[in-house]
Amino acid sequence: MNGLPATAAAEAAIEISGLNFEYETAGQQKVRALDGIELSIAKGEFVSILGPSGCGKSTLLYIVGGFVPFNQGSIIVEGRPLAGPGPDRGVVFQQFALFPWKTVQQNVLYGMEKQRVPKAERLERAARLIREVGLAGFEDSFPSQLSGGMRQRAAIARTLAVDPSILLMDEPFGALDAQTRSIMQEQLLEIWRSTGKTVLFVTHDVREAVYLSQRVVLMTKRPGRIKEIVDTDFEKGGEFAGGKRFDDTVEYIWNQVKAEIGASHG
Amino acid sequence: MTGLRSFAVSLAPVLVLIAMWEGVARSGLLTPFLLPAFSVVIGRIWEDLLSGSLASAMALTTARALSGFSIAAVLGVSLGIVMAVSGAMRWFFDPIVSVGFPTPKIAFLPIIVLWLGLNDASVVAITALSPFFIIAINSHAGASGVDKQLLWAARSLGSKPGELMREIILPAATPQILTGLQIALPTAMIATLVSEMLTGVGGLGGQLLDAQRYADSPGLFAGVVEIAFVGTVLIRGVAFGRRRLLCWHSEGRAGATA
Amino acid sequence: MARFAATYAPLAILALLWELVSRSGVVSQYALPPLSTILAAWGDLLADPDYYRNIVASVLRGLAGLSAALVLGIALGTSMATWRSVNLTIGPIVQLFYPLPKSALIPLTIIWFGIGDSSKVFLIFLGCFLPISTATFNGVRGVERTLIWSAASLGANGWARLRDVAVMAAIPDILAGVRTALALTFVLLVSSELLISNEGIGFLIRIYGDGSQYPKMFACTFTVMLLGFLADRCFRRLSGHLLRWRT
Repeated sequence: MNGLPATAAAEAAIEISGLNFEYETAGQQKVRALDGIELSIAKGEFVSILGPSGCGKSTLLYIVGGFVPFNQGSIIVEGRPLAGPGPDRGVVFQQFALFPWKTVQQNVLYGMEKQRVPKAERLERAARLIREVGLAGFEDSFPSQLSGGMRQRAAIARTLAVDPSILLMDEPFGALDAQTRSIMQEQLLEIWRSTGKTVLFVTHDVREAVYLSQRVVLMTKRPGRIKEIVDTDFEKGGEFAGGKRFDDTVEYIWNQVKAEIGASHG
Repeated sequence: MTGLRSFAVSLAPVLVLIAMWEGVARSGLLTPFLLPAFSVVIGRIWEDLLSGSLASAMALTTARALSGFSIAAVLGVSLGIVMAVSGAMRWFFDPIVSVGFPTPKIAFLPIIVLWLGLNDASVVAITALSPFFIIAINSHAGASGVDKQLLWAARSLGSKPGELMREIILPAATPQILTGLQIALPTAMIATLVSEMLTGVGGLGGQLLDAQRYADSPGLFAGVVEIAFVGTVLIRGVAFGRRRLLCWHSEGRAGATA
Repeated sequence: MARFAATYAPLAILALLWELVSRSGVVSQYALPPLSTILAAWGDLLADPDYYRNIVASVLRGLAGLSAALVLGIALGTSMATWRSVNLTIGPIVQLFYPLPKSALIPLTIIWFGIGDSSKVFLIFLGCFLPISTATFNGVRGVERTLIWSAASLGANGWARLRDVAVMAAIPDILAGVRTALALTFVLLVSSELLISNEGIGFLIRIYGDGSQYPKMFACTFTVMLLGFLADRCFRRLSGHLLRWRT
């Protein structure tokens, strides 16, 4: 919680340097989606990535998740070069990505089964997590029987079950209504504070980014570059009552984003 | 250029398969009775083509398949729409359709032969019966799934019942009716071939059974290739017709198998 | 009970019509035996162990062919959707054979395997294999990538991702393929038994027909209807159970 210590590099959870990413369209044209990304995220830090749609912010998250191979550069995760997806990095997607044929409990148990956690411990941990995210009583429900907010809570419980040290969140509250969203944000902050996990959070919502995170990474539109990193690690009263500094920061970032959207139209 | 290349890429495995067929047949691993060489089979198809027997058998089978299928299409689509419009008809035909649909219609061939004899009529009748229920079910689903608001709008604009049917219900139900026809066509072809084999009235199916009876395995393999050709042409034809008719509709293509 | 009666009343009306038309003498009782005569013949069959032996033979052939097609079809479809090289080599061959009316294979399987069980089982396997593998291919290829990614980040290896996620997510498509395959199973089974066989329910229809024992021929045809209906009900049960997570 104490800003950006000088030792950040030594304790970095994620160290991205010189990252380029290109993909080929159906017409075999090369499109550069990410260009020269340099980003160091300290252990226990909460960082948001913000940018207009199509700026490659989700792609960046998928690359760190190990799902999408990158062309150039290096990514070091907790001291080791990135090699594919792994349970050290838990992922939460906008559309929840729960296994629809599994119940809430079976979803939460899945990762622990793959990690060969002993059965008794598995069941005990699943029960606790389901209770903590407020889904007690819905253990045997299928995702299709739950509301959007409940599904996302189940997805978060599933991710936490394997106790990842890093949480990668891809617009996790984007599909939720305003009220549910604000409850979920509080729960996420609560989880972050109590567990000290590193969070990399992708969003296009300026207020959300400023409210939740310690630093906000602003990205340019295609090719995605880091435009600016804004320090947002100060006391906030709430998402809609954050105080003057909060409002000023939101306004500043909002203007930057607007300029970016405008620039791409020019 | 890319289209040509992807065609070449997809042709390669087929050529390899043919080469393997020829190789295995010539190696003597299998007797020519179990697997005649590809070149021999092609030679037989060429002979059939020159003698005109291929054309006449194909014409006969295609005519039987299409006439049976057309009867099924007219009756099936009519029944489906009538069931969608009238509650009484739905009450009467629902259980009949739900029992008829999972029944292997080909089991009725001996009964139909008993009634109509060993002739074209029996072949056409079983060909019509086989796809009938699938067509009726899809037409019923299509016609009863018409957007209620569309019907209200049309009625408030002063459409009479006849116009409602012609201008709203039929066009709106068309995509699913055509899907039903497309799924049903292979069923009709299977029935035509089996009934030709069983009744011995010639056509591609009849020739195939003769070839099997006289242990003429080049003739048998040639027959399978010829039938595959007819099947592909008919299925592609219906798929093409469906796309042409549905150019206004965004629905993706549905495959069909026999 | 009352609802059941109301639902199936039309079938009872048809049955009554049948009986009346047949008894009235408008058509020959030889071509259309009265329903009561057919039911009586069916009663005789039910007391005949031979009848059951033939039904069991047919059902086992169908099950064997369909199960083999299910196992290998799901395996091939999943492989084609997962590995590009498999799709490039096998895909064109699948497309080539897909529109072949499968009944053309009946004589072929007979010269390969004779008139007994193995030719029927192989025929049903061949007929059902392509619809099932094609349906699996479409289903697996359409799996949401975030589901696969979620499994990966929860620690599932490649094999587990395939088995636990790709195939599971493809189940609705696979079931649609199985439905087509089930219909094909019956058609190919009965067709091949009608044509050339020494056992099975289709064989019974043929010999009773050849022997002009028409009430029994009708009864055996009704047996096939009943089997088809029961198989369809079982399939619906199964697919309702497998898809209970969908609402």
